[in-house]
Amino acid sequence: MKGTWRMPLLLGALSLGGLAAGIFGDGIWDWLCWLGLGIPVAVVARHVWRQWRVARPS
Amino acid sequence: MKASTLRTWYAIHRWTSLICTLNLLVLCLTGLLLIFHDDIDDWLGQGHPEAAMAQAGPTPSVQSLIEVAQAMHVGQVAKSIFFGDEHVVNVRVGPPGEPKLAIGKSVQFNGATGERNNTVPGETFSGFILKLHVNLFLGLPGQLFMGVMGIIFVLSLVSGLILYAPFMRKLAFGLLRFGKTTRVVNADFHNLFGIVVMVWALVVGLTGTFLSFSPLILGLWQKTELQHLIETLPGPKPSRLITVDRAINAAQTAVPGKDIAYVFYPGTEYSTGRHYGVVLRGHTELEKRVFTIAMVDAGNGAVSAVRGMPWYLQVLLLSGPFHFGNYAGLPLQILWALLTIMTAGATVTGFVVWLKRHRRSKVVGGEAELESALSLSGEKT
Repeated sequence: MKGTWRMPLLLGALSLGGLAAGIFGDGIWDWLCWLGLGIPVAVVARHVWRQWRVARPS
Repeated sequence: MKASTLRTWYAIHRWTSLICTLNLLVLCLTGLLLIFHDDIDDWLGQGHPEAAMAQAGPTPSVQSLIEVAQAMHVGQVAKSIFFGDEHVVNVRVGPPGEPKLAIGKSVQFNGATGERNNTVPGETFSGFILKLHVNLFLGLPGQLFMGVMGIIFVLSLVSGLILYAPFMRKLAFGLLRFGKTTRVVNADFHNLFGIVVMVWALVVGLTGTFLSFSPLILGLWQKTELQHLIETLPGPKPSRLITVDRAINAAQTAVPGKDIAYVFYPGTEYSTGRHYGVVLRGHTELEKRVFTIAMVDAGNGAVSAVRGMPWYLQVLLLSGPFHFGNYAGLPLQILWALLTIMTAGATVTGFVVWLKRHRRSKVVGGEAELESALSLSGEKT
């Protein structure tokens, strides 16, 4: 159970923090916003890319 | 989770998802374009002209802009004024005695110079896409229908979240079994996309639903708080209105340090018969969405009442940025687009999982379908 939820909880918390951060101001807040929402997107891209590479080694 | 509970959530997830699949794809596609509506407008030559740099000359009075707008539409009178970014001042005129702002025409000015902004006649491409996104060209009923679809979408997300654990218990996060059957590959993608966009999609789905119901929410405010103001601030319409600039000054003196967002003329749907409704807002990204309304007596310029917004209007005002993703520059817009694509991906892959379900389940019943679905998670072989 714990293992199943670790990544989703982490990415969910990052998303929520990112969504909120942007509204508080510019500069550092915008960067926190981009990081918070960017990391989940990057994690998906990494998972898709790596497993695709292994499955189709051409 | 008990097998019967699991079966119930599985059924909820399947049906809520199927109901909003087509709708959601339309929303994702149109939403994707709308994220970049400013750039699309500019690219098609339908954008707002760049605001001319404020000249050294004096800023024209708001009253003078009103007079220009009224002269352009003879027989119509000013109803409301909206003050936007980049000095945009939008004056709305309509027939005398008409409270509804929707019945009327707009004239846009550069408030710094007093020049008229040439807006594009007719409908822009973005405007067309926006209508499809908001109400499927079906007006208010269409908009409320989209709101109901939003609720169903949120149910589909919540049921998906509940099903995540039983389906992923034996699988590593993000496992994609390329080379397996179409159903397995699509289910793996569905689980990955679905769980990663979950929080974002819940926020965008809930804010979108709230925005869909905005006419009802505004109506609630009009029927309660505004109605209360109208009853407690009685008084006939004055024979002569003070200038709108005087009303603005009075409001800004009563509520210092704020910008003017809107002015509603006496006798319109967001004011009383005797008062200018002057709406003020703060400066920061957050404070911009916190409104205060000052009721300014149009006969003598006295500020009769100052009110904040009830929580439901505040939530509505804050729903905007969290639905549009327009509050942290281009990087956020790009992330918003990627998350939209991922949501569409979860929608399509989920649909494929349903399409490729084992047909024998029709004969045996839902039991077998759930079992075959669970087999995707490695529970059965």
